[in-house]
Amino acid sequence: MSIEFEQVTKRYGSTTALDGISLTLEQGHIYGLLGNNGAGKSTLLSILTDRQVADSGEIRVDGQPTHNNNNALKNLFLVGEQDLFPTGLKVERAFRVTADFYPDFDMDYALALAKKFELPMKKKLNALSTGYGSIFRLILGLSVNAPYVFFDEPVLGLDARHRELFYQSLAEKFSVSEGTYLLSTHLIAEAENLIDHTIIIHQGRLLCDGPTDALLDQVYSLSGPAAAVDSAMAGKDVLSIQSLGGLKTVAIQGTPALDLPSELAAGRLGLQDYFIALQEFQEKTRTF
Amino acid sequence: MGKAKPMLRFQLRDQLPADLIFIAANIGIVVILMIITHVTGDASGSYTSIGLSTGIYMLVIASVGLRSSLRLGAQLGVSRNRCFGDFVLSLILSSFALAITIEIVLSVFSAATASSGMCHFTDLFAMLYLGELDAGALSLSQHLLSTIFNLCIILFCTAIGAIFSMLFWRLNRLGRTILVILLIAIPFCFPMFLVYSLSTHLPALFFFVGKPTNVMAVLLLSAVVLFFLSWLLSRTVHIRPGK
Repeated sequence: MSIEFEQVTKRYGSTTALDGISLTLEQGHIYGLLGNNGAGKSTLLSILTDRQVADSGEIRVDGQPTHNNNNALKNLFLVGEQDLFPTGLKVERAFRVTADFYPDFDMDYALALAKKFELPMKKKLNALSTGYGSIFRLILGLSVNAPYVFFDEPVLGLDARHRELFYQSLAEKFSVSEGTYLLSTHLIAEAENLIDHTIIIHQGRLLCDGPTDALLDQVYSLSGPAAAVDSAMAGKDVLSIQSLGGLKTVAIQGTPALDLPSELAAGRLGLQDYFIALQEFQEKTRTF
Repeated sequence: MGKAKPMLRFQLRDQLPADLIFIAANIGIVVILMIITHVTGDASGSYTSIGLSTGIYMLVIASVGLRSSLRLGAQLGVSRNRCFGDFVLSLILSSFALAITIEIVLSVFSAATASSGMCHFTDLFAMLYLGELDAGALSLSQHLLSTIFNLCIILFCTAIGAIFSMLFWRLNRLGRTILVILLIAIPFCFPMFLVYSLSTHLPALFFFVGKPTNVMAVLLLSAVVLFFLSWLLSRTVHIRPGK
């Protein structure tokens, strides 16, 4: 099973939120969907799950279009920034209702997670705080066992302990289930160990799409005295430059030379640094 | 069946408490009316047009419930068509149940107070076509026609709720403002239109009010058209969380 996006475009008046996005989500990965505010991440997920309709293009799950299609939609579950349950529903009832619609929903696991996260089961959904609202939604996502589960900013309002608990739970879940997960998050540094395939959207267009390791293998950081760095980066594709006093750090596309001066240090970029460098490069060149 | 059963089940289960409260409230009003009538000795108490009030109740249910249904479906992987269809089906089933129930309630209370003659229980069908016969005096076939008549009114009102709900969801601020103005203007303009129609003897109006079967046919057809338009609007609406 796979999800194919083909030339998906969405406009709001004169603003193009998505511009011809084409990509494929295969099974068995934890995808990271990254992008600046307003890049189009939530719009993409909203169209995927038929909460919005694209202006053009198509999304197919296992060859079947998602729009108005039960057979396709039943394989997807979106944990958005807000849920769409009736607000007067209590937490426990919401779990049971979800179990009615997703036959593989693991109620025991959901209840165990609710206990771990200290989620009040008898409370109405509209009475939950921002943090507990997020906890309710991410427990749903972890328990639903749909083939594809998408988390859009899942850790909104969560304290550090609960965020770590979520990441651990997701990693455990992924290791034992056959599901595919997608994390759309701004907290890239926290989630990067989980993300094995990265998709970056910039101003509605696909900037990059590939295995995280492969993407990070294509760039490196170079740090050291500014003059030495300037000399080493001449003629290279420089993505970003950071200066602090007499020191400079640059992100460069390619692989580091083997004969670098001893005063320079080459290193592997983390996913967050790679993302930031890429954004800065886009802003600098304004290729979009 | 896929997800049809759970969605329909949820709709019906969700709606049942409100329907029961509505019926209980009407029974409560009747009981209070009877007590007041008994205490005051005033025999002019009457309970009428429960069919229309049920229609207004279902109009509200439809206007609120349709969006809720589409949202729930979007969250739980049910297509818009299936959500809309199951929601309309749940409304139709509720309408059937309510139409039958209110006819029974009216008949029971009418029969209970027949000997005292303290209160009069009648409804639109009897008022318009049977010379305002009390519900207890209707024959079985007249009860059946009254039930169907109320059902058509309820379904028509339900469809109005659905279309207004979708229109308010789809229109921008200007559109919603115009719609609200129209909603306010219609009750004022309709009587004038009615008077004008009567004075000019519009054949269509006579067709509409002349026979109950004509009224029912027009109401049902209008309900079908309005539900269809609501469905068209629901196909591309942006399903957002409620405020």
